[in-house]
Amino acid sequence: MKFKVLRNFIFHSKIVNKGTIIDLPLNSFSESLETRNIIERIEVKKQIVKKPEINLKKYQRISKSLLIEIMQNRGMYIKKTNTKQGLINILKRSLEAQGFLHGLYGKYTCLEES
Amino acid sequence: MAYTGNIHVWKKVKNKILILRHWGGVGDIINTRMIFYDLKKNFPNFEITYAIPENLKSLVIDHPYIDKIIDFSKANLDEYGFYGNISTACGEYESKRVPYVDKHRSDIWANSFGLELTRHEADIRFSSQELKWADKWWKSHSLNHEIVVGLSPISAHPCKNLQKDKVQELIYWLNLYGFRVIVFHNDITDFKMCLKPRLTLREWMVLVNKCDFIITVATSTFCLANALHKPTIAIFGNEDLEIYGKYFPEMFPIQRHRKRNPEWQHCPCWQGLNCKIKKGVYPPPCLQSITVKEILDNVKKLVEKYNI
Repeated sequence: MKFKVLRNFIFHSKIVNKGTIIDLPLNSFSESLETRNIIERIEVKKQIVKKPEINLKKYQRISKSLLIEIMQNRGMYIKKTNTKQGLINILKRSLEAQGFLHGLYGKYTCLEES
Repeated sequence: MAYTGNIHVWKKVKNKILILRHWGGVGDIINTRMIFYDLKKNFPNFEITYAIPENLKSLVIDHPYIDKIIDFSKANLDEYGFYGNISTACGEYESKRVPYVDKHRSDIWANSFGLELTRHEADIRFSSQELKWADKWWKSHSLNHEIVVGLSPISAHPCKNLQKDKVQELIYWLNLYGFRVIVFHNDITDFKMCLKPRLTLREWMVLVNKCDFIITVATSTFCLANALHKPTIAIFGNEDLEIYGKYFPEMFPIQRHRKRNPEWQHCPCWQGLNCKIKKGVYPPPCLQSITVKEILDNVKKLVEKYNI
């Protein structure tokens, strides 16, 4: 993940200057309390904001039971009484959420420009 | 003490009991529901009146052991043979004992006027109209075949809140696992991938009742989930979950507690403002140290235990 730093801050005991483009894994923001506090105080601009389309056509073509199996293998919790379309909607949300978490698109709350 | 006034007045008031509370909050009023079963059991032929702020009356309107609910400002004490004022009982009791408070608030209130509770149930009942409204709401948001999580991350006081970035991360993870998230709070505009309904108190109550499980900080939703015995993940900072959750076996506690985490020897301190680790930090370090992963681990345990 690349971010443009809008003002000087300290990250892992190193000074990062304003204007620098830094490449950080998103996971590092949420893991330590120390890091989180630093991140909350800085203002960074995210480079990638485009939201890609999620292609769900392949899921439309498979059976409901196979879809349930795929979702359960993803570690998802679902009610089997749901319709196939209902399950596809849940899967779509899940993939979108994954996109947000991995920083593929959208803005991550704590990193929004203020 | 014998009544020494007018005998005709005494005849009218002798079988009337008033319980009085000048203020909320919402969670406390829900917790006060626990005292009325034992009150009625001890005084079955007495008329029991509960006087509270007008805007909170709907929280207890369905209670089977309260005969009358009135606005506290209209309560005339002369009309009752006995009255118990529970407005300040908790504050007085807890402030003398922090950080080793040993009683649930329902017991403190009951004990303050000489009652011992034998059963800690809130006896919440919804009308068929309320249940129908909830079903309709559920259907209109296509929730009937989804696993729905009620999330209450924000309290009236900032020292109890989960940090906003953590809340958003948690919502993303819950969606990733296939859950649908409803966030309960008066003013939530900045969270993504969740439902954010604006509700009356009764609507909030009946929707919390419909959720499969609850994730909450120390706020009224915790008290409501306790009252409804909803499987709940409770995330607390400075108030002791062992006391708050004393009558809540369905609860999964997440808290830095001196009994389980020796490195957090001062926690819970019961004092948001005077944290011994770092003063004036909201949320306090103990609450800040709780991770999204910890919450998600508890979600998995809860789902397995309750076969959701």
